[in-house]
Amino acid sequence: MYVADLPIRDDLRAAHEATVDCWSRPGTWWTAEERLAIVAEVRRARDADEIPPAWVRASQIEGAVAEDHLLPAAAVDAIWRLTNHPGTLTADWYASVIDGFGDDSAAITPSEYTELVGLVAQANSIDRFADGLALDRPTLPAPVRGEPSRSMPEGAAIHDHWVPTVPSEDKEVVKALSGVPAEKNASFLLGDAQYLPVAEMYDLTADRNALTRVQVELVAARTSKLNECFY
Amino acid sequence: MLLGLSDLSQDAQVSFDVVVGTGDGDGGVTHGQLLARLVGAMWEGDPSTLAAVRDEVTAAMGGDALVDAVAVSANFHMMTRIADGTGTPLERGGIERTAEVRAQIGVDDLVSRRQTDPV
Repeated sequence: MYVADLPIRDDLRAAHEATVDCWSRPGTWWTAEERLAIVAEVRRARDADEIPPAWVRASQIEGAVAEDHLLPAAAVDAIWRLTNHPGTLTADWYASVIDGFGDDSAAITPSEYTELVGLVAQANSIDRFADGLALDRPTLPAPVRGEPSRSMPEGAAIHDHWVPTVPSEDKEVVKALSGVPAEKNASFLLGDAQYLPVAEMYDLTADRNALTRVQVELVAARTSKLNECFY
Repeated sequence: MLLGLSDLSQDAQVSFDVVVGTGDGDGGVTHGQLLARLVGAMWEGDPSTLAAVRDEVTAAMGGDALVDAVAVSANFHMMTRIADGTGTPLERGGIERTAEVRAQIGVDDLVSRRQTDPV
């Protein structure tokens, strides 16, 4: 992965390789084929010649999405919206996704949605990294056979987020994917390498690799602002 | 995602113009404007603009810094989607601590703000 003269740290390269490998394995609620289809759809959404406005569902645009898509239509629509318009998401929109936009056959469960958010977020991150450095995006591996674990962690329920989470003393954003622990772990594996390990996050004196901490936070804040993220 | 910069700004002379994208200075951060332009180029995705900014960052800060900056930005393309995609609320203490910064950056009117009550 990443054939380049750039000084890409070993831990960063390893985190990306481990994440891509995880995409190809059965997840908690989605099969390996479905997980890879989610990542592939992120790429289609980002690379679309014309990105539809937030209020237009990709599945309703003729030719934008394959009619025999492996994923439910609501999942495809959620992928496009999360990828291209993350700052426009609302609780009503989330409820519509879970409801399949009124089509029971297209609906997905809150836990399936949570895993999807994790995958979409990871794929956007890794591809943005590759694109940002003019590297080839990682090739998607072949799917590994097997069944999703379909296991809910103890205590997972709707609390303060839209999705089920497990109560803890962690920050709210750390809890966000706790209803699907494998995706929480995968996201924080990436975060440890790309940003900071959680344990160092509150040590504001710590520089990070070639950047000072204030430079790191400037890049983080500017990226969040462009994504119109309040958090 | 603003908590870190908010806290850091208390000890450093950091201006938030560079975060908002309205100023042409460094905002009190070494190479701040250049880093903000790198983030903007990643956001826009135009290959020629990106290539030019990458060259500038490499010349001014080195290849290690370029990779690290791209990695940090990539990480927040992930974290923002996790936060906004799951309806993550802000901690009430966080809102109070960052109120001034939020006003300066103008995030209080964002759709994502209207959808989550602090806890």
